[in-house]
Order: sequence, then C-alpha cells, then structure tokens
Amino acid sequence: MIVFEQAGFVYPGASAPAVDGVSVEVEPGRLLALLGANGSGKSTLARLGNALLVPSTGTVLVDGMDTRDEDAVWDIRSRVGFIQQNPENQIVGTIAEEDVAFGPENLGVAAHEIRIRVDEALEAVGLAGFQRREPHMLSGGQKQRLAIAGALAMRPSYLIADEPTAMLDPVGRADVLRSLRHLRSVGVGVMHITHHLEDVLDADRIIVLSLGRTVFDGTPAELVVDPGRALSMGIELPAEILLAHELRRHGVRLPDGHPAPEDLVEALWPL
Amino acid sequence: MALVADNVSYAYEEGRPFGVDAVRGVGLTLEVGDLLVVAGTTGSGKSTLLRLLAGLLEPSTGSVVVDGVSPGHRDARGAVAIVFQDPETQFFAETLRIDVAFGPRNLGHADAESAADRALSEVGLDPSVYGSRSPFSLSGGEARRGAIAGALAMGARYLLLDEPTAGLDAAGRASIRGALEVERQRSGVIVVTHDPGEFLDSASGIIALDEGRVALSGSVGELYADPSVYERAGLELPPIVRTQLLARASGMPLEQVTLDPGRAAAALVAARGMRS
Amino acid sequence: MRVPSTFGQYVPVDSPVHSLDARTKIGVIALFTLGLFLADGFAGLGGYAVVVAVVLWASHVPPRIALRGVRALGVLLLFTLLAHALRWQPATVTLLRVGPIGVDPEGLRTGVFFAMRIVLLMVGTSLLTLTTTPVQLTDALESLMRPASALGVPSGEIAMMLTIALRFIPTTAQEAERVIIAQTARGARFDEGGLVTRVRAYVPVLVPLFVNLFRRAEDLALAMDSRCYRGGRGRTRLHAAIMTPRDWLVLLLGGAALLAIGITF
Ligand SMILES: Nc1ncnc2c1ncn2[C@@H]1O[C@H](COP(=O)(O)OP(=O)(O)OP(=O)(O)O)[C@@H](O)[C@H]1O
Ligand SMILES: Nc1ncnc2c1ncn2[C@@H]1O[C@H](COP(=O)(O)OP(=O)(O)OP(=O)(O)O)[C@@H](O)[C@H]1O
Ligand SMILES: [Mg+2]
Ligand SMILES: [Mg+2]
Repeated sequence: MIVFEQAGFVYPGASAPAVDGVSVEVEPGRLLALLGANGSGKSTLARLGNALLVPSTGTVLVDGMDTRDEDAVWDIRSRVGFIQQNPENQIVGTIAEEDVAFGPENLGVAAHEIRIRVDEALEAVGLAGFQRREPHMLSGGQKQRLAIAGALAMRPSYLIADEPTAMLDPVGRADVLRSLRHLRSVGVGVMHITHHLEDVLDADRIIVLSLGRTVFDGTPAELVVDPGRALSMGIELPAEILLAHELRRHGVRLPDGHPAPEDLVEALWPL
Repeated sequence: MALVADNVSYAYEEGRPFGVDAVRGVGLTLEVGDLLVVAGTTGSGKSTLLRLLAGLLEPSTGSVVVDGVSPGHRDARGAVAIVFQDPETQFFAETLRIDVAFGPRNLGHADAESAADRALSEVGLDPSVYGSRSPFSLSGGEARRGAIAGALAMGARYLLLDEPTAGLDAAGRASIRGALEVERQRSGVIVVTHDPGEFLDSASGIIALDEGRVALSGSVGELYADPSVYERAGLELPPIVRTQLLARASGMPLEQVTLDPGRAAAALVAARGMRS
Repeated sequence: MRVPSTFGQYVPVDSPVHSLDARTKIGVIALFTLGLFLADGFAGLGGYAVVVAVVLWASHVPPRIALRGVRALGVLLLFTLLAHALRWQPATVTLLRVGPIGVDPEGLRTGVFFAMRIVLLMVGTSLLTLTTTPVQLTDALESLMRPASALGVPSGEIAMMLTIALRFIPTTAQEAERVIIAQTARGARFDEGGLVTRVRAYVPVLVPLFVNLFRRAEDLALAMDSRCYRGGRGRTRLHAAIMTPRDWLVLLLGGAALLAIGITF
C-alpha cells in the first residue's frame, strides 16, 4: 500500500505549498482517482508517490518504506510505476522494445526474462507486433500505451498515471482506460489523475484537490450527487449525469447510479 | 468574402521512407460568423488541413483561396490566424504583452500593444495584471488563453484553432468557449478537435475527417439525423446527445437536441407528456 | 521553410547487415575509412563503390534514403569540385576558358576524385547508423570504451547520453519545424533584411525551442528516475551483444579485403 500521511510539499521559493496535508492510500487492486483544477497539486502529489519528490511535511510510505529513506528509493521506484501526461517526453528507447526493456534492464533482470516481459507487456497494452517501431512513428495513443507497457514490464505493485489520456482521441483514450482497468483486475493499485470525471466513474475512491488540500474524499456516487458542490471544487460533472439529475428533479424515476443512454430512454419512454 | 478550400490534397514525403497522404480531396467554405468544427481521430489529417488553410503548406493538388486571392498574395497577409496544438510552447518574450503583440507588430499594425491588451481582455486575462507577467510563469489554463490571445491580436478575418481546450480544466475550457463566441462576431472560426462535444451547440457546421478524406460534412442537425458515418470515422457523440437521439429514434417527439442538461431534461419530460 | 530530415536515421528492417554486431560494423567501417584514404586512384574508389553498393543492397535499405545525405552535402561537393578544377588566369592549356577563369583538366580530375571520396565516405559510414539502432550503437561504444572505465571514465553514462541525444534528434527536428511554422503564422519573416535582422528573426524560434528542450529534459529525467535508472550499475541488456563467429569472420575477412583495396590501388 502507498500511504500518504498528512503529506505536504513546498516548491523551493514558492510562497504557498503545492500540496498541503493530504492523507490518502493507494491499495492493491483498487483504483484511486485524483481530480482538481489546473495547478491544484495533482502532479506534485503523484511525484511524492514514487519518491521523485520527498514530502516537506508529513510522510509517504510505500509498502512500509519511507520515501525519505535514500536507501529505499530504488526499491520504492521498482514497485511504483509512473506515467506522465506527455507521451512523447517519457520514451527513452529508440524503438518500442528497447523502451519497454529499459526498466527491467535497470533492475538487472536477465536477458531472456526481459524478452518475455517485453513481449507480455506490449501484448497487454495491445501493441503486440510493434516491437521494432520507432516512437516518432507511433500515434499519441500508441505512445501512451507504450509508456504503460514500459511501467508494466517492471512488474510494479502500483501504477501512478498523471493525465494519461489528456492528449488522446476517443479511441486512444478508451485503449488507455482499458489498459489501466486491466491492471486493477490483476491486482495492481492504480492512481489515475484526470480532468475528466467520466474517465473514472468506476473508481473505487475519488479525491479532489484544491489549492493543495483535499476538498473531497469519497466514492464517485457521492461526488456526483451534488453538482453545485462539485462545480465549486472545479469539477464539471458529465452532462449525462446532470441530465439524470434534472430528470429526477422533474419526477422521472430512473435506475440508481449513472444510467446509460439506453436506460434513460427506457425509463422515459418504455416501449 | 470567404476562406475556401477546393478539393485540396497534401502528401508528406520528405523524412519518411514512405509518403503519407495526410489530406485527400477536402473542400470547405468558411465565412465570417461561421463556427466550423473539424473532427477526426489521431492522424486523420486535421492539423495538416489547418496548415493548408493558413497557407503554411502548399497543397499537392487543389487550391485554397482567401477572399479571392491565394494565401501567399499580399492582400491575404494577416487575413488568417492560426493557433496550434500546445500554443503555449511558442512563447518567447519577457512579458505576455510583448509576446501577444508579436503578431500584429510583424504585420506592421501601428497599435500592436493596444491590440494585445484588447485580445488579453477578450480571453479573460486582465491586461493590467497579466500584461507584464512573464509568459513562462503562467498556469496551464492561463498560458493557453494567453497564447490564443496572440492569434486574436492579429485581428484576422479567419481564425483557426487546433485542439484549443485539450488538457484544460472546466473553468479554462469555459473561458475559451466564451472567447470564441465573441471572436465569431467579426471573424470565421474553425475549431479542430477530436472531442467536439463541447462545441456542438454553437457550431454552424461540422466536418469529420477519416484518413484525410471528408467522411461527413454538414450542419449539426444533419449529423444528428444520421450519426452512423460519424461513428464509423472513430468518433463519438457525447452521451447526452446519444440519449436524445435514442429517444427520438424510439419515437419521442423531440424537436431540438442540446448539450444543456437543463433544457434537454425539460424537453424530454415535455415530450413524454405528449404520449398519453 | 523546412528543416532537413535527419540523415542516417535507423531503418527498421531485417537484413544480414542489421543482424551484425555493432562492434563489427564499427570495426569494418573504420578500416573502410582508412582504406578509402589510402587509395590514390580511381580504380580503388571504383572498388569501394562496388563494395558500398553490394552492402547497401544486402542491407535492404532503400538507396534513396542512403543517398539522402549526399544531397545535403551538395554545396560542399560542388565547392570541392570547383576549388580543384577552376584556375584563375591559367598559364597552361585548359579544357575550357571563360574570361580569366579556366577549367584545369588535372584539377578537374582531382576534384572529381575528392568529391567521389566524400560521397563514398558519407554513404559508407551512414550504413552504420542506417542498420544499427542508436541503443545498439551506444552499447557498442560503451563496450569499446570499457578499458577506459577502469580509469574512472563513466562509460555507461556517456553511452546513455549518446542514446538520448540520438533518440531526440528526430523529435527536436520536428519541434523546430513546428515552432518555425507557428511563428511564420504570426507573421515572422526569416528571409528579409540584413544579417543582423535575420539572426534576430530567429530569437522567437530559438527561445521556445530551448525552453521546450529543457522541459522535455526534465520530463525525461523523471521518466528515467521513475524507471529506476541509476547509471550503468547492475544494468542488464535485452540484447546482450555477443560477437558471433559470423561477426569475427566479417570483421577479419571484410576488414582485410577493404584495407587491401586501398593499399593496392
Ligand atoms: N517545478 C515547480 N516549481 C515551482 N512551482 C511549481 C513547480 N511545479 C508546479 N508548481 C506549482 O505548484 C502548484 C501545483 O502544481 P501541479 O503541477 O502539482 O498542479 P496540477 O494539479 O498537476 O495542475 P495541472 O492540472 O495543470 O497539471 C502550482 O501552483 C504550480 O504552479
Ligand atoms: N511533418 C510530417 N512529416 C511526415 N508525416 C507527417 C507530418 N505531420 C503529420 N504527418 C502524418 O500525416 C498524417 C496526418 O497528420 P495530422 O497531424 O494532420 O493529423 P491530426 O488529425 O492532426 O492528428 P492528431 O489528432 O494526432 O493531432 C498522419 O499520418 C501523420 O503521421
Ligand atoms: Mg499536472
Ligand atoms: Mg493534430
């Protein structure tokens, strides 16, 4: 488990903390979603999660290891995969398989084992057959999935994904969301940062940051019940959820949760 | 007076072992007051089309005409402004005002600085506060708006934007939509995006590209009448629109389709009332 | 305005040349270069031209790509040719004479010889980068520098720096093109005025390019850190480079033949 305990971080020279006393856990096999307006501290929190930054106040523990402990950093990072918003800037290799192999190589994994892991990881993100492709010949969605494969090949227990779908079209986005869900199903603890609530409606837990502080901590269902409150935290609820709210307000009886278009129409106009 | 593309094609060759036909036989007309949405998946040729329209690429076949002349013509200089994907990566000046004034100054406009200030207010950045800020110190949403101001300041009749709202939070997206509505009153606007959802209510037309070809071109109403082509091009309508289209298809007498949840709900409830 | 496409970029196909160990290729090319400079007649150059053509054919690299660098060198080649061939008010008999300038047959021959040598050198050496991924290349360099690391030279880190530089050449070229186009769209002109004006015109290109490069470097450093990079220490390789008997054979026989051409002709 990754445990943030009252974690805080102040960038050198900054007047206010970027993250301010946040407590949350990333648990194996569960999906934690992190939302908040531009500049609310999401990326900073993500970097605290795998010792790319160490907290100024509070602590961050990964499977019991303190990220401040310099001797544990390597072990921590081998357990926590990390992918960033811009798919272009995180690819190290000059062809796909070299990039996926980069992590396991650093971990000192044997060559034949790396081969297996590379092929497995590419397969898992739907890039089987792209082994020899150069990064600049991949689409945005493919690059982002390559980055996920690079993290997967390290067999991490956790994956922190910082806006992994920001630059993708609907197809690429669906691909990446599917890959992340697949990870959760095989027991990886996932932290997914996004501006789009609709990407994380099936999260096990959502926290919303504002000015570095947690302003919401609960389930997606709890977040969507109050559109006004969500908006005040900088979160725009998906229009279809607002539609369901409005319909309920008009006295239409709808199934619980966030009904699909088919369910809405079925409730409004049963054939 | 219009920006017209007639059957334009473009192939990238240099730098690649194999040529890429990025745009194939695309035609469109943009007039002042239009808000045209160009949608398409990754690699469908949207950005290439914008470059062609702005005269930054020479079409392999077909032609682009700006108010009756070719984009390279003297009379067309400054008629088309373009905002690229990630425009905030083009900042270079010490202050935002100087950066925004770069375009109008290059065009030889006398009052470049005041044009810059006007553009800044239009995107919701108070020039007295932001004018003297370093463009590199801005937050994501502020930087994007500042970069868009750089195009607005050129006072072009045609404004082309590539993915203007990607990566922005709700507030940032809303302020850019607002700025485009204002801009539209005196220019023609094209918004290129792979997520056209938020522009559908205000768009005067939509073009969907699929592998460089026009898969669909028409009004939003026409799109709603038959979304199957659109979906075949790898695009998705927002769920709230799908709900209303589905309702129509199952026989609900629904006149208008809208992105506004309040109006959509009222219309759906009213339509339901007509059943009995 | 277009940024010239990067020359000698890896072509991902399978061929007997691709599958050679990078150290073999480096060795052979070193001997090829040496031989090329030893050769002092057209017969030698012709021999090397045949060798380059055969290897190019065997590498399955489209000749158009391999020759792309030559076009970029056009000016240099022309200059080499003219510098040798043209004579100011030649005293001796000349091939051609326009006013005070004459074309000297001996000089022309030398010019052609030098130009041909440059082309062969260019195409021959580019076969290395065309058929070897940058990572294989840097691994090979690292292995060749290994004796130096005993003296405290951080060969692993140097190799990694090279890899990254190579990895980002295409990206940076694309980015430069993007920024130039973007500023052109804002009315910037790069082809007007005197030298100072022209240089100043590039400020709005270079500043964002460098800012973006730093941003990119920062992201990449994060990506490498988060994937446990800590220098060469304890690092294994997906493709542990091994010199096969075929490699040794190519290195020894091929190298000897190449050198022989140069010495003989
Ligand atoms: N390297 C840095 N140096 C100084 N301040 C920084 C740095 N990185 C971020 N900040 C500041 O810290 C705060 C939080 O930034 P952070 O990047 O964590 O926000 P975010 O929620 O990820 O935003 P976005 O949605 O735009 O990605 C912001 O005020 C930002 O300006
Ligand atoms: N500079 C270039 N050189 C060669 N090919 C290119 C270049 N730019 C784009 N292409 C290719 O042209 C095609 C169309 O690219 P374009 O950038 O226009 O797509 P797009 O619709 O804007 O995609 P995205 O949504 O990813 O921005 C793609 O196949 C792309 O790989
Ligand atoms: Mg962020
Ligand atoms: Mg594009």
